[in-house]
Amino acid sequence: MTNGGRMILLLVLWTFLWAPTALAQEGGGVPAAPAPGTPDPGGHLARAREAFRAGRLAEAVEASRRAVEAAPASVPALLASGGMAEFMGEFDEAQAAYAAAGAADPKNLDVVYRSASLAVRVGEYDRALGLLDRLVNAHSWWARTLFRHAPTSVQVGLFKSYPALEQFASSGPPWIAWTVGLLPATLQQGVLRAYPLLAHIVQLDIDILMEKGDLDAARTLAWGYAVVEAGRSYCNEGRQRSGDWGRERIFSTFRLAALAQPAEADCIWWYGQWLTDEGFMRLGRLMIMEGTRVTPSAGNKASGENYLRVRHSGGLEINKRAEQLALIARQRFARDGDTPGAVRLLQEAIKLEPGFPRPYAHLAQIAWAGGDRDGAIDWLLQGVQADPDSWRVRRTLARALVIRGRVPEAETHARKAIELFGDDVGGRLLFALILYVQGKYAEYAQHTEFALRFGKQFRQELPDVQSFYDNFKRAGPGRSLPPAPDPRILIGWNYD
Amino acid sequence: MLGELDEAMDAYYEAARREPSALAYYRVGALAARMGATDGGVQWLGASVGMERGWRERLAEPGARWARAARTRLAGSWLAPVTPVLVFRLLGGLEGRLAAAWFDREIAARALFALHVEAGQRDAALDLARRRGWVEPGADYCRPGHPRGPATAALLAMLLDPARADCLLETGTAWTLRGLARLGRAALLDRAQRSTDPGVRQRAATFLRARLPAHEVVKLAETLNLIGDNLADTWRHPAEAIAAYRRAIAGDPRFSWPYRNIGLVYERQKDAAQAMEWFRKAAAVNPDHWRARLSLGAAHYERREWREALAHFGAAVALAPDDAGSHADLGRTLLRLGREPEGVRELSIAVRIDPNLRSAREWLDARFGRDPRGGPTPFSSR
Repeated sequence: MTNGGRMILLLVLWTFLWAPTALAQEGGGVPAAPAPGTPDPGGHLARAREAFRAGRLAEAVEASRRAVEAAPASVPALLASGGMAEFMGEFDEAQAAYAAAGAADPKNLDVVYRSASLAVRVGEYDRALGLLDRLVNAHSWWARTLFRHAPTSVQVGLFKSYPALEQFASSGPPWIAWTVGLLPATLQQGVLRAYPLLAHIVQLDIDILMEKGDLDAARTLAWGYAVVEAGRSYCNEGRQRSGDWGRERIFSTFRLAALAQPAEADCIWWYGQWLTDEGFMRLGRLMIMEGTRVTPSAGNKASGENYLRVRHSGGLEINKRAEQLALIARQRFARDGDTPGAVRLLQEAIKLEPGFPRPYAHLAQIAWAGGDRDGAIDWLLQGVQADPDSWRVRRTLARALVIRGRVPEAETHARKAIELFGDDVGGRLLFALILYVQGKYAEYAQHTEFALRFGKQFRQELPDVQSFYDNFKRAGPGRSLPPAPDPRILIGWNYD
Repeated sequence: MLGELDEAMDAYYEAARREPSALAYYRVGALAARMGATDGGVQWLGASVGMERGWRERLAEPGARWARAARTRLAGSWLAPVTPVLVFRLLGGLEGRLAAAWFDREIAARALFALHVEAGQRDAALDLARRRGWVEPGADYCRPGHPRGPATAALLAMLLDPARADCLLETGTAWTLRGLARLGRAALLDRAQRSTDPGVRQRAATFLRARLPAHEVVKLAETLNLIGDNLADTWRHPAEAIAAYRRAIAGDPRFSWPYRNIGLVYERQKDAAQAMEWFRKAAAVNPDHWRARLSLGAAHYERREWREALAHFGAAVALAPDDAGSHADLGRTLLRLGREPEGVRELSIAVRIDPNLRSAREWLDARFGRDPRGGPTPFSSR
């Protein structure tokens, strides 16, 4: 019998003798998508999905609640309701729905995943990690064994780790191709590619560990699962990025730099500033602290400490739930146009963390957009009381007061904003305008010159400002007021 | 391939005459069906189904079936990730070699069944199904993994168990996307009228209106349109593709797909004027042709004719409210016109339907910050 014939015989024997038994043992798998034909009494779930996609969120929430009323023990209905509630920032309602779903079907992996998601949102990190571990345990024994214990080369696939192998498989001598063919797909392509949920869990674990402050464990995971690759300088890639890089790519590159290059303080700092701008205050704070700790430069250390003071309430560890409520509220207002919902979440955030200035700033923005300018100013004043060193609140308050004609009050806050962060061209120009209005021309000139010089340094052209200032120098003060544009600042200083 | 169907038919006929076999008869029958010659298709496909198996086929068939079943079961089982890749290759190779010596009559039978259904020959279709042992009283034909395959199973459900035939929605959609307008229309029309689920009826009706012609397309025109698609997309022969599309139009002037497809060929050749003209023709023939509306909208957008683009993208969204791309196109156009709140709403809907729409998502994120609701951590939030 030829070698090929023997192989086929073995294959035949294996298939007939072993396969039927083996195949009968269907192993545990990843969380399944909802089966087609899931019961939906009253069609509330379908309505909820349709309303959600069309952006009619209040209707989607209501429909998902009705789905639960129609079928209180239905896991799909409970997950839909809980998911909608979580999406809207109604965490207590989400918690109740997930708990009910867990009681109805304790082994349902979708429930486990959702519960883990909510646990992260409310700061229960260890519980979240435990739930994610349960998802790993739900995989077949060799998948989780490989995932937990195999070397990195197996996690990412032997073909990726050893490119020559793949070449041999496709175009090498037949005996090498056959030998490589003995490898199962999992080893060839990698555990993470064979089981995408595991790859997702790795990334979540990394973020959770970073947010817990355990950067070493996060970095170990990142290296172990080849989230970061040896020989790459993510920091340089981020610094030298081309103009066509999207925000997503910049964000991911800085994240990888923070994981892979512990000595690159600048990039860790930039990641922290990016997160701060986006509103992920807890992780942003930790990254700023880490970058400040690692930098060898005394000047940069001072900058880092100042950033913590003026953008992170002096290094306050914001309550996680408050952070998420503020984040979600901002989106509910800005993207969904849901003012009452946003206001409610922000007020809840303030109750949880009264010293957190952002909810006040967002409430001010909402009031201003609704035409209540004095109401907006009141919120900003409360924000200043909550955190007197919040540079952004001071700045926004100064601008609002100027618009309302309350210029002397505006001067106090504009001056304070400059003291807190001097490299703010827009803030300087606003302050200059305030000084001009009050006839304080020498100071007006001083701050205008600073803004123009600083702007030139960073190629921010301010032609109107320059032109007005040149006229002022020639002919003295006139009846019109100096322009006060507000150009974009560096990463980390742009948003509340 | 070139659409010279008569010539192809002559060649297949001659081959079947010289060396009769089930496969040769199947080829003649399948081509006759594609040309709209229903009676010829029935005759030849029937002959293929009924042809006696020779000794080679009697030996090869069980082996090929076993190899295919083993490979399919193995690939779908929990053993798949740890089975050497070589095993799959060997099974595939074995199946291939044995299948070359045998023609599965089931293929011909399924083609004949579809032909009967498409031609409205319900009794003949049911008779065939009974003879083949496909009829399972009380069974759910729409169950996943039906042994007859999703297409045949869906048609069986339509004929035998219309109350449980909602898998026709998915199958009809798939047929439509493959260019099989007649079958697609039959399936979606059935569900729009006979499904017991109001949601399915509505989805079928929406899809019918936006994605399928309002009339029963002439079979030959459908086939020539598909040939044109192959020539244009796979083989990159634009002149031949246009010729095939023109013949499709001649066969059925009310069939709007070939008009638009000609426009796409010109678009690929950077002839914007001709492309626009053909897109207009497609929309004139069928104002509810969703893709024609999108193409027109895109053509106007390229020319910075925002208002015209808005009209067409708006129509596209009305026709296909579940399509993320249409919402994104409409959103971008509204932003161009300075109508930001509406533009934001459309872009938000687009990314809610499809979070992978990168440019829409990035615009919104740049404007409002990342939306943290997509996931609990900065990495997972979109």
